[in-house]
Amino acid sequence: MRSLSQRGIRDEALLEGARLAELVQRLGVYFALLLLVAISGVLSPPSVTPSHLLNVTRQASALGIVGIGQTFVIMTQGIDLSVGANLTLIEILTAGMILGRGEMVLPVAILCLGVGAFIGLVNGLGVTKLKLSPFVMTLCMMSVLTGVYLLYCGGSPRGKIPDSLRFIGAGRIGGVFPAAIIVWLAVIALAFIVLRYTTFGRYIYSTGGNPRASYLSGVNVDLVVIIAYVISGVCSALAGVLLAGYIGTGSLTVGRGYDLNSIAAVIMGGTTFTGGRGGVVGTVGGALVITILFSLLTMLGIPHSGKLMAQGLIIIGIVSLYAKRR
Amino acid sequence: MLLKLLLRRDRSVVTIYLVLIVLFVIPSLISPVFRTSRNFSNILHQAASLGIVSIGQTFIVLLTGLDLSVGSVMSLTTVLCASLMTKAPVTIFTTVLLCLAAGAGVGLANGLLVSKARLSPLIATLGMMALIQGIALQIRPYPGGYVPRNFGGVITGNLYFVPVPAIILVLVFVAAIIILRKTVLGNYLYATGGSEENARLAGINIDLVKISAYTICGLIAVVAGLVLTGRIRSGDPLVGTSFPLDSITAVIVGGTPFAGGRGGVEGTIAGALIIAMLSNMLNLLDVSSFYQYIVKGLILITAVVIYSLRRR
Repeated sequence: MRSLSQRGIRDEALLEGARLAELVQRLGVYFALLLLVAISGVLSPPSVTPSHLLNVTRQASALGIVGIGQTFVIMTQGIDLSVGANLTLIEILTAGMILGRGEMVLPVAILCLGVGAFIGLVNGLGVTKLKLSPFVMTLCMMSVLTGVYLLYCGGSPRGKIPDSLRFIGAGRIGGVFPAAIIVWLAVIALAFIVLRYTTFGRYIYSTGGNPRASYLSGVNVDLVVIIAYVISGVCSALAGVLLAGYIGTGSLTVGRGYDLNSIAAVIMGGTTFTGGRGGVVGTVGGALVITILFSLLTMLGIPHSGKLMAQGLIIIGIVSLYAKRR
Repeated sequence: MLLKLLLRRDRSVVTIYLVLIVLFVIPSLISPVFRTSRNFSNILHQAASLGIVSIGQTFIVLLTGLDLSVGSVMSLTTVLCASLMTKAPVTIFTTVLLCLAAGAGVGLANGLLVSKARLSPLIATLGMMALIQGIALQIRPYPGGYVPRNFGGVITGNLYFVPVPAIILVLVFVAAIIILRKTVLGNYLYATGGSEENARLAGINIDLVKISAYTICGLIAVVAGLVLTGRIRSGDPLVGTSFPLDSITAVIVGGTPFAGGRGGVEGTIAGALIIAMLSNMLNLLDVSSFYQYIVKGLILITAVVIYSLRRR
C-alpha cells in the first residue's frame, strides 16, 4: 500500500513538473514577445505607444485567426497548407460578390464561411477516409484553390467593399480600438472555450495524443479530425472576409505567406507536430511575435531581404529552444 | 544490369513508367507539334532542373522528412552565378565551387537542425528557406545580371544531339542510384526511413545518416540551380519559388510515400517528367495556365490515392 501511495505522490510530482514545463513552453513565446516590444521601444520609442501597439495587433489579427484554425489541425497531428489559398479565394470572392452593396455583406460573408467550411470538409475527408497524408492532401487543395480563384477573377480581381465591412476590417471603434481585434478576440475566446471546456476539445487532445487509444475508447477519431479541418477552413475564410474589409478590393497576393507563417506561429506557440499538446494561447503569441518582428524591421528600414533572414533565424531559434527541452 | 537494379525493389515503378509512356504516346499520336524533336528537346530542358532537384528531395522524403529550402538554394545559385562569373574560366570554376559549398553548407545546417536540435524538418527547412531567400534578395533584389556565354551556352547546348541538361540529369540519377542501392549509406537511409527506432537499435548512427542526406540534397539543389542558370542566363532571386512543392510532388507521384523507407529515385524521374510533360501538353493545347494549377493538384491526389489503394 505504502509503495502505491508513494508512487502516487511521485506521479503527481512528475505531473506537476510536466505541467510546469508545458507552461514555460507555452508562455515562452510571450517572453520573446516582451523582448521584441522592449527592443522596439529602445530603438524607436514611438513604436510602443498604445495606438501603435493596437495597430500592430490589428495587423496580426488575420494571421492570428488563421493560426487558431491551424492549431486545431496541428493538434490532431495534421497540417493545413491550403489556408493561404483559401484566404485568397475568399477575399476575392467577397470583394467580387459584394460589389459595394451594403445589404449583401451578411449573405456573402455567410456564403464565404460556408465555402471555407466546405474546403475544410474536403481536406478532412481526404485525410481520414482516403487516408492521404495531410501534407499531400492540403498541398493539392492549395493548388486547386489557386486555380479556382485565378479562374474566378480571370487573373485580375475586382470588387468594392461597402463601408460596414470596411469598418470591421480597418476601422476603429470610437476612433480608438480596431474592430478587427474584437473579431480576433471573439475567435480566441471561442477556441479557448471549445478546447478547454467541451467534450470535443478533450477529443482533440486525446486524438492528437494517441489516435489508436482514442479510437479504442470510443472516440469517433475520423469525425474529430474532419471537424478540426473544417474549423481551419472556416478560420481562413473569416480571415479572408476580414482582409477584404481591410483592403477594400480583391487581391491575388493577400494570402501569400499565410500557410507557412501560420504554421510557424502555432509551433512557436508551443503546439507540437506530434499532436495532443498545446493550445490557442501560445498561437496568439506566435502570431504577435511574427507580426511585431516584421513591423520592427520595417521601422528600422530593413529591406525585404533582411526581414526574411531575420524571420528564418527567429523561427529556427525559438523552436530550437523548445525542441531541446523535450 | 541497370534495368535489373531499377526493377528490383518496387513494382509501382513499373506502373509509373507505364503512365509516363501513355502520356507520351497519346499526345504524340494526336498532336503533330508535340512529336517534333524540337518539342521533345524542350520538354527535356524543362524537366531537367525539376528532375535533378527532385532526386535530392527523394533522399529526404525517404527519411520521412522534406526540404523546403531547395528552391531558395536554386535561386541563390543563379544569383551568385550572375554576380560572380566573368568570361574567364577560372571565375566560372570558382563560382561553381562556391555554389556547391554554399549548397552543402545549407544542407549541413538543415541536417544538424533536424538531427541535433531535433527540429521538425518542416520548420527547420522553412526557416532555412526564409534565410537563404533573404540572402539571395540581399545580393540581387531584382532579376538581372549576365551569365557568360561560355557557361550558359555549354549548359544549354547539345552533346551529339542530346541536350546537356538531360546528360547532367542522367549523371545525377546514376550517382543517386549507386548511393541508394550500392552503398552502406543507402541501406542505412532506407533503414532509418523505415523505422528510426529500429535503425538506432541496430547501431546505425541515424543523426549522421540524416546529416548526409540533407547535405546531398543541398548539393543536388545547387546542380539543379546551375542548370537553371544556364537556361535563364541571368540571376533571379525568386526563380526557385515553385521548386520545393513541385519537387515534393514529383517524389510523391514517383511512388516514394511520405511514410518513408520505400520507393526511390527511379520513380521520381518519371514523376518529374510527367509534371513537365503535362504542363507542356496543356500549353500546346492552349489551356489557360489557371487550369494547370487545378490539374497539378488533381494529378498529385490521384497518384497518391492509387498508391494507397494498391497498398491496402
